[in-house]
Amino acid sequence: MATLADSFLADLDELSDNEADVLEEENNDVANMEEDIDGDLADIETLNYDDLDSVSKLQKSQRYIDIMQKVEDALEKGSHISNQGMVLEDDPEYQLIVDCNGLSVDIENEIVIIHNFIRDKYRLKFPELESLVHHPIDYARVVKKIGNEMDLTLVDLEGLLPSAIIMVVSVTASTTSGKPLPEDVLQKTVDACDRALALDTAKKKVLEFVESRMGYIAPNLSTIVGSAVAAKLMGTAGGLSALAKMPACNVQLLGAKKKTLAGFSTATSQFRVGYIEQTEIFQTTPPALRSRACRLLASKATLAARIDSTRGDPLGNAGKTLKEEIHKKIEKWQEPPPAKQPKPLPVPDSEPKKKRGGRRLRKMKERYAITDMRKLANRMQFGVPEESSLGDGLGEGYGMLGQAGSGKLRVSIGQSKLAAKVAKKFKEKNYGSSGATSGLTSSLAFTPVQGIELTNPQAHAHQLGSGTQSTYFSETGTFSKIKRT
Amino acid sequence: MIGTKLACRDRKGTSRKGKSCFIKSVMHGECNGCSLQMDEVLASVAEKIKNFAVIYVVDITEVPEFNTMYELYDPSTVMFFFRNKHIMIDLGTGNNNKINWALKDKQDFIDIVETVYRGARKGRGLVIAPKDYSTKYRY
Repeated sequence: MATLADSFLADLDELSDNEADVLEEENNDVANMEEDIDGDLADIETLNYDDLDSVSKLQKSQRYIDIMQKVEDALEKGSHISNQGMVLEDDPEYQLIVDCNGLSVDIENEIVIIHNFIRDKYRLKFPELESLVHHPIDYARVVKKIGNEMDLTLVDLEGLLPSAIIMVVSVTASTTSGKPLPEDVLQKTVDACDRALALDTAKKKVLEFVESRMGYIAPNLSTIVGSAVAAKLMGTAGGLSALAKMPACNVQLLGAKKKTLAGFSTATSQFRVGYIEQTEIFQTTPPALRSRACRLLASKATLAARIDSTRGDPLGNAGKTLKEEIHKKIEKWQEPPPAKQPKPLPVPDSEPKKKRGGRRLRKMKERYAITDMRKLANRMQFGVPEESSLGDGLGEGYGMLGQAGSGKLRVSIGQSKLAAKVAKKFKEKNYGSSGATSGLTSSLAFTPVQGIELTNPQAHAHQLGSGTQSTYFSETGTFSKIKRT
Repeated sequence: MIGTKLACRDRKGTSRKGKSCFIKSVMHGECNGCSLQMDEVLASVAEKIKNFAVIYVVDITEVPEFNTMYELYDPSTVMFFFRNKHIMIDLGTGNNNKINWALKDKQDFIDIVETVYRGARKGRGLVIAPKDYSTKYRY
């Protein structure tokens, strides 16, 4: 700001005259810097601006005035069938429409800028309003209506907003932290509101004009979605070729409004649909099929827009066929499903059972697996009569169970593979005390650095590397990496 | 008395079908409730088991040749054949050759047919019915 420049100059004044040359250079540098600073400051100032005109230049611009004039003239003239033989790009009307599209995008941006301006100014008065009323034009209208009023019961917001929002706004206003604005700020804010509304009406006029010419510009697109929606789509996209370049998913969302929540849940919020929602086809589909219909419409509309942008079908026949297609598809969706045929049973034992595998199954099978004892009992040595439970060949035979000179009737069960793995893991993790530890031991360790540690760091060190314990024959040791030298 | 006929065919000829098929003959004596009930069960089941079984209804008054051979004297009788061989079922009633009474439950009947099919495919001549009918059948 100005004080910064002043401070620089003050610094320079302190310097002695001997360094006059250096001073001059520095002066220049400072001057340049000052300009730069001023430039930056100017940019910053536009944010803390006081003057609306420094922000919103569109209305004063020549281009705007020209186009608006032409639009008014054309609207008065009414529609006329233009010469089909002429190439589209040469037609002055087409040029005007292209300009209108660009202008409507510019107007929209301008409205956003003005909205920001109004919002910044009005923040002192009523900061919560911006989160309650999202739409810029509605916001402008509300601000204009409320003005500097502190008591919202005196202000009638009927017709500007839905009643639910009015209620929320009134309640918030009663507890707001804002203060009334000074007179000049209020005046500027109201001016900005007026300008925003004026721009809005201008945009509407432009759209109206484009809509009336839509049948000539984009016949296929207007056949499918209707001329009003086609005009809006073109306006938002910024031209027919811009619309044609968009993917269909974007076209679906052109003009989608952000829903004001006001404390309501998002569980019932509708799917994303923009201007397509206003088409006749969409409105006549049953609500259950609407999201599918929206996607279908958007895709066919994009196709039609692409045909129109290259002037592939000036008569609009492609649009008609596409529309027929859409109708047919929506009809088909509404058909009842085919009657359910009772299925006959499959032939028994013709479909093999789906066998599962895995650890769980293996463990289950282990419970019923044949043990070694049973295996031995099932076998017999050649030429050696087996012993039996009742003696003399009666009762159950013992097979090789007591034989082979072992003298032991008992055969150890032998650990299953899974049990071996589990046992190893158990040992590694050191679950449970071996019984040799006293009841006073705990897993807390008192270290000099941290004080109390929950795990004993000594325990870990033991595992790896006491020199006496060899890991070669260790039961819990794992592979270690051996580098080739 | 001529009973209703769902299908009437010579039993011997039908075993030449490609699919393995059952030949069941429901033989009607008089057209009374017992046989009608059995008829209804069979008619409703026929579509479901058509992949592995075929039902034939034969009127014993019209085709009396097999009456003595199979002892067909009851109002409704169901017998099971697989590839021209008679399959016996242990129903618990004492008579393993046929079902003499009107079976009410469709699913029961389908279970019996499936058991017979499985056993007959394995080559068994006698299969054991999944349900016991010793107390159900009151003569």
